Amino acid sequence: MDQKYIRNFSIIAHIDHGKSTLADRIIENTGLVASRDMKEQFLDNMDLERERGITIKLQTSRLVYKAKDGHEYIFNLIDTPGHVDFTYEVSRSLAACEGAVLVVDATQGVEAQTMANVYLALDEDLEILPCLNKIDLASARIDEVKEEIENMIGIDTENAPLVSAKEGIGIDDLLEAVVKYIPQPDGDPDASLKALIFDSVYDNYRGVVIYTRIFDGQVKVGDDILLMNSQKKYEVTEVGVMAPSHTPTKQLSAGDVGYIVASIKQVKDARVGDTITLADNPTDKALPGYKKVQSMVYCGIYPAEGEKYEGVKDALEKLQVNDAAFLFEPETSTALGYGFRCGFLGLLHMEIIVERLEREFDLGVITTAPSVVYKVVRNDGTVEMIQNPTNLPPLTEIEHIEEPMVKADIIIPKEYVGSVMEMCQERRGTMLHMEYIAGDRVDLHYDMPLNEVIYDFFDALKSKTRGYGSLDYEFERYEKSQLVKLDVLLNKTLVDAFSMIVHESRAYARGKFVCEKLKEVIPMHQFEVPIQAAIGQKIIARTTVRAYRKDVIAKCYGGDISRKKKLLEKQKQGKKRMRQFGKVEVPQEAFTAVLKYDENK
Amino acid sequence: MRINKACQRGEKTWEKYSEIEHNGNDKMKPLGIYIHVPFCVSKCGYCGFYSHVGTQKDYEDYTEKAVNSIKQSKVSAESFYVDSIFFGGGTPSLLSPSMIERILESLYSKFRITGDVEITVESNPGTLTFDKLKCYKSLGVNRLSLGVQSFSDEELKFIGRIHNSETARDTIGLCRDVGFENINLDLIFSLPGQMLEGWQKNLKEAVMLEPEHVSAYGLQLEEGTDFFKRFQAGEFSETTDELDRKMYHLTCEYLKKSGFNHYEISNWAKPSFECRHNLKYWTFQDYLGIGPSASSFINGTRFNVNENWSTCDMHLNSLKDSAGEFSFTALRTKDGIDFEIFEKKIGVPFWSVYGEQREKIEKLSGEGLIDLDKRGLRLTSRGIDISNGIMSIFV
Repeated sequence: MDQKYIRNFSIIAHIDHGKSTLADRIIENTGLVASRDMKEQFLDNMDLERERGITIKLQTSRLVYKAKDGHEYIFNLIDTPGHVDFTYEVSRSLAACEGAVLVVDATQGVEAQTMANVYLALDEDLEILPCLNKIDLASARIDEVKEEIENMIGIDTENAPLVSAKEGIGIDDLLEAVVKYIPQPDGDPDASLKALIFDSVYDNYRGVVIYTRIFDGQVKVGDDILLMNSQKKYEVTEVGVMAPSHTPTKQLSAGDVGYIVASIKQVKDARVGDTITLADNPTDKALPGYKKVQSMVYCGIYPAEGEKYEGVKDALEKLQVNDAAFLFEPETSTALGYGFRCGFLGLLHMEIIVERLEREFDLGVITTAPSVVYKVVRNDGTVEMIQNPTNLPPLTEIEHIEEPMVKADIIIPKEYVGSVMEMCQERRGTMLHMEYIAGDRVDLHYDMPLNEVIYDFFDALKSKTRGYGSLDYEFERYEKSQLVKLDVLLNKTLVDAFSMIVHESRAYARGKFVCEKLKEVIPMHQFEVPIQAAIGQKIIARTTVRAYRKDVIAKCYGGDISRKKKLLEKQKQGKKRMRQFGKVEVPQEAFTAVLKYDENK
Repeated sequence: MRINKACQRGEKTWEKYSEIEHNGNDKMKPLGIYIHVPFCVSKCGYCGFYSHVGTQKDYEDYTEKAVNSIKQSKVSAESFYVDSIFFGGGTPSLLSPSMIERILESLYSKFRITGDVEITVESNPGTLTFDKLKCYKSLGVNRLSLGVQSFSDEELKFIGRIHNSETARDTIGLCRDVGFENINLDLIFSLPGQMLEGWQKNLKEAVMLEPEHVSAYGLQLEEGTDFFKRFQAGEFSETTDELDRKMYHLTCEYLKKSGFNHYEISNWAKPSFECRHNLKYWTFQDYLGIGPSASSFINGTRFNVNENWSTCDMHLNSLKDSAGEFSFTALRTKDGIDFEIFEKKIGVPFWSVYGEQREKIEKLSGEGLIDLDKRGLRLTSRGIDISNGIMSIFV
């Protein structure tokens, strides 16, 4: 295929700006999938993705578009994950493209993730094609939003297609604009192979399937490929394109986007960002930008009551095969027994993994409070990275502790500036600067401890701004900080799974909050259950769950045993989700409940 | 007039059906029949049963439909003999004796009915007259269940009953005059604002009237009832667990002292006056429900009748269903779970089903919440207070 007729591009957008719906329309309009076979949001494959309206795993499609100039074009539409946790994956997907369609919701305007994505695209030198979505809505403010794009991003919006993905308006204009404005690939098909891995998935029968963009050269079945960063060699058993299901081809050559199968056993052996070349004729330089991703957030995952350790282990292994960014290792907790310490890119990544364990593997698990990685410097100068609060050495042995700081970028409507600034300050944020942007909105830049961001920041932001606030953050550095370990005691016994590391200034409020939350979720027992929060030996907060005396149904409705049975079954299900700590039964939700943002508190 | 005819015929009306006794045929099983009469003079604020206000025409239609559904019932008359009939509601005493008669007639022509059949009619004081009672009696009704609920006029008004305490006392006297020798009084405790002393007074009044049977229920706020809405609106608060249990334990103590046998969580009876029909629910026996919202359990299958008189929610019990239901219902009774009966009814030994729960069960025994021995297991007085948690082990 002549590279002249290939367009490789991504769609970038803030969450909810209609990326997936637009992708659906493009697919529909290029005749790849018949309308009747369209599922809502074709690219979002997992149920979870469709439900949450976010894209987690990439989906890439090869489309054929007959342009007005009479030629047929190959569009390789490379989807990008839609969340700040997956920034690195987004950047690698973008690196596989020549251009990006920037979708901006004409009713919302530019948001934090719009900006974050634009910066990523600019880093990769992509041609950015802006496009306004949802123009059919009465609240669309086309001119204002165009102005925002021009001012904030500095790109011309004169030719920006105006579309409504939902109503199918303006899709043709957009497709023509893709042909016209997005550059063609210009690799050298005769040079030695240079290809980028921008995603990989695990297939039970074929092993790892690498999704790749060929920059130079060619690859075909039988070739010995070398992954330049991991220095591993494999023999290619299949190449093909995503049309959208895997369709084998003879070869892939410069400009193409496709897949390679080469009997690779684990996705971590074919990491996103790595460069593929031929073992016997390697290219001299790997593609730039390869990073081994770092877990930012850790938590414990334990089998719930009645669940087997091995079952959880198998499931985690299976998930890891498909997700190179997810780490786990065995650990034990006095309260929860044998389990795993798991590392994630961020809080959303963590929630997704936990939900997948529950849904896809039908496992009950308990997750402990997420923690960031602290740098602990001991008195003797040795440095230790701690991601489990329980492993914090005794205070007397610690010289100081450092915590990760992030640069947070928060875009909100003007009227919420006061309350959001207050919230950031409460969470130990330092404002770096703030800018007014068109449409009465404000871009706040904060320096904040990651520890404050992972707890409930995003929920709090959404709540304070009625859903209009958006957030993006990026790791900056480690910084010395006055941190303490906050413990929780149930019925006077320390439950290590609830321990967390917090800033000294926040310990009291946090302790009080946790005690109150636990009081809400821990059911009444036959005895009083004191709940205490403590730093070392010092109790800083306390609540009590009072004892119940009664749990009996007096009346049964005229032989309606089923009704009573349902009640008992419900009660039993509830019990199943309970975890016994000494004499106290704690529902599994307790572990997440103590982390959730509560407007009233 | 039919009423007169029925009354004149006297107790001999059903004589020809009375020859069959329980032990007549080994293959036959006893069956209880529940007739749900969904009419009330007015709806009480706390009531979660299916009932509404009806007209004379509604009563007629109802009787017609009840007779038809008895006729068309697929329950085989060859496999069962009927030893209890229970008219519940609602307020079944709103039906005229001739309506009751037609329903009984259809039952007698469809099923074999034992000579000592227990026929109960639930009624509310104030819906009964001497003549009506006489007719009921002549139709073979031999047990009356009166929804007295309280002897405090204030309380009666609050919960929306149509009668006062005076009427209640008079009605009981009337029943005795007609010759009813098996009377149950329904009482409710834990009414909003009710004090321990108030409840004690109600109990005393009830016992003084010398009923053969007492049902005492703690008020349950059922979703969808007027009370529930009022409770949610903050009009009154729920009785505390502590007080509720005090009232319950007082009831147990007082009725025991007065010669009643505490044979089911909420039911007390003088010796040999246990309600045969109610026990069917708790001892895993068969019963057929007629009328909207009535439930049935026949040969291991549960089903209900919906408001349009069609059968719904048909469910054939699995072994696990049956074991669970047998166990939790049995736990409501004084005798509890009897391992021998369990094995006979369910077909497998108790511990083969609940082996995994054994540790838990033994722990409960250690905590004094159940009595566990070789014969079986029963709730203790403390166990009853938290019986849901214990029963849920078995489902």
